[in-house]
Amino acid sequence: MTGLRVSLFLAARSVARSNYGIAWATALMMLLIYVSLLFLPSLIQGAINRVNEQLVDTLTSNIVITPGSKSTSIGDVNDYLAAIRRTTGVADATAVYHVGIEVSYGASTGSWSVIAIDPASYANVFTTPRNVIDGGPLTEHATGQVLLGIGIAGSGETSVRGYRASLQDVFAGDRVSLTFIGGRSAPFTVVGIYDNQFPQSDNNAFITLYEAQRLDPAIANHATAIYVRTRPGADVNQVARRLTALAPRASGTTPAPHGGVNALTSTDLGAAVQDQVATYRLISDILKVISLLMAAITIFTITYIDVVHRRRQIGVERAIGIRSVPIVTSYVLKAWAYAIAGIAAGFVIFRFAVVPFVSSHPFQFPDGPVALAATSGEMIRDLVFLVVVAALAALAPALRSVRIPILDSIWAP
Amino acid sequence: MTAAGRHHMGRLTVVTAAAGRHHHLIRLAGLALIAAAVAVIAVVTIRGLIRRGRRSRARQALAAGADEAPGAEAPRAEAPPAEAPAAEAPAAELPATQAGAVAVAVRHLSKTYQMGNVTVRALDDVSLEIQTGAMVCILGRSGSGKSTLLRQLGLLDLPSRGRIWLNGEEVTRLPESRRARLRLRGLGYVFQEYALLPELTAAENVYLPAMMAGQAGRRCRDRAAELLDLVELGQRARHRPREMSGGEQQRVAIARALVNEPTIIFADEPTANLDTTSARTVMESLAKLNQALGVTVVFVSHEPDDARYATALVHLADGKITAEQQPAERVTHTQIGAGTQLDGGQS
Repeated sequence: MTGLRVSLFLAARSVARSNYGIAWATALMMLLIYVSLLFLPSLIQGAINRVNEQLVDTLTSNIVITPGSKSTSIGDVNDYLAAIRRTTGVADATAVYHVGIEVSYGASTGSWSVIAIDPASYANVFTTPRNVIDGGPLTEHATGQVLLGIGIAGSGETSVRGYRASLQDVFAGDRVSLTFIGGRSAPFTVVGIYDNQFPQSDNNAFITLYEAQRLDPAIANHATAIYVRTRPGADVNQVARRLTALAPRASGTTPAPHGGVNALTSTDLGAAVQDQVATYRLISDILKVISLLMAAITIFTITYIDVVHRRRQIGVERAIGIRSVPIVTSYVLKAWAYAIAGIAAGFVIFRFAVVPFVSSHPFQFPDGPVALAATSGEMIRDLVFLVVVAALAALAPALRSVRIPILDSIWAP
Repeated sequence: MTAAGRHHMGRLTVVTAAAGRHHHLIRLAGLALIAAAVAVIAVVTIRGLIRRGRRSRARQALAAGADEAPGAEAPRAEAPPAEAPAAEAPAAELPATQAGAVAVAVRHLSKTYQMGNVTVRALDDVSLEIQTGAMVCILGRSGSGKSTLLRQLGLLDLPSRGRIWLNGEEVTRLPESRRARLRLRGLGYVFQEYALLPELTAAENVYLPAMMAGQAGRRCRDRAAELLDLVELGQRARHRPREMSGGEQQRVAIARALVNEPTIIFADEPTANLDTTSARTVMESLAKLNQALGVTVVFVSHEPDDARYATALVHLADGKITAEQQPAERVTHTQIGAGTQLDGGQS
């Protein structure tokens, strides 16, 4: 305890009465390192969150139910949907039927999915209907109308990814031709164009289930996929298991003889983006390690220069009976003081200036606008890492300084 | 899943094994890169430290032999003990009956340094006894070994051979932690070049050892104030060393040496860098402590005037004691003008 008191005394006097320029520069360096430690990983985490959100909001929902391996569609969908909606943890569900494979506009033709949806329930599960940038969304009983993704329509937006492969100049109100499975084609009016800012989900064309059933009555009460939105906090895997168990009873005899249904979560289906996420995480980890190394080198260098500069002083302290441990501890405390001053300033600047600013002016990533995503836990964890690194980095030169013979220290230049 | 369904999800469900391996390799490469960077930094640091160590030893070797004028000289390399040290020294036990009366006892003390292939003997078989309460001046030319002797006695350096007793306790080969404790509580050391800590005020310099010894904050400050008054620097308590003259700094150093109430004070040429007036003030301060408080004072000097304050003189030449004598005249208590105020300094 006495040793700690002496360490605190020496460190406090040294910080208070040493070169303020060096103290400020060190604290500023630690501030920058802490902000860089947080900034890029937070941005990457923001991008990861964005990808995951987009995946759920526009492509997979939380759970996707598809026919079993021996079936092409799920039967008794109306009863199954009702059962799904009654299941604990489910917010809503929507059934879709993939009806078409081709969209044409004038001389341009491309292969894209044409999906029949129930606009009302679809809007409860996905955000796509809210992302219409031209025209409007589909309505319940709309006929002869199609909602196109920006990846199909192009809409003259040359900056859209895959623009060259799109129809390029289709706008709301234009007439396009849809080719259905089986080869039949029909003209449709573009009711609206949506832009999810997520290329994976911007390449679909939607018509109403009402229209699809009118064109092919055989698909009534059938679906090629059911998308389920779970309530916040629900255990998605548990809900998926419940929904799988519900399928035979809910859909009568139809699915069971054909192998039942498959219920997959967004995580199961997000393998492609998981690849992207894994890369982001790797980059984030590398950046964190580099930032911590920078912090360690900074503190090491500053402490090393400090102890070399004060070698005589350290020798005198030892000569008058101050033990080595309090001397070493005083340098560690001093490094902590600089580190904590920088980190505290960095925390305040990051939390109350950088994050709000980036939230209001997000970075534009290929998957859409990305803000910083740093939780308090992560910020505190990084703070602890930095403090530990500062202590370890200061320890090495300080320990070395007290191993020099006293007389050598005192006679140091 | 239907063909259409698969088309819808196609991008999500297809992850090839090659892609997985690719990311695994990237991760491994990244970690390898980081590990390599850490290893390079560690190797560079360690090599730097080793080189510095070698340079330091080389400097010590080159500087060997230049014994005196410690402010200017570089450290010396200690020669490997040619003879067995303390344990094999000639039998010279400090008589138990004398232990109480003898503050410092030295038997067959030698200190050698290595300069290239040449071994320099800075102290050569020195034996000495200093009575408790004495004020001893060690005199000698530059290079005679007087500062080397004082550093051995002050536990700042280890002898090559021989034995040392302080207040009856053998201290020759104590571990560093024990030596540090003795330096803190049992001894006071005054350096030629003041050796104050520049970031501390005069009072803080004085009470730092007291704080290390575990005294309470208020007690430390009160004690520092008493001692600064004792060396007539009470009004400079809040001043930092750079704001004080050499003489004042040296008196602060004396006050610091006294703070833990040591029984022995070693002073290495305390007046070497001072003008005549300051030198006299410093010597009078030491003499006051000796005469009024009974503190044993051992000081090194090459100034004949300083010898007037001593009760005994020890002459060194070429690392050997050539004479021990009483001073021809001594400055007395009355001449110094040490008042009764000194009594309050030691409790």
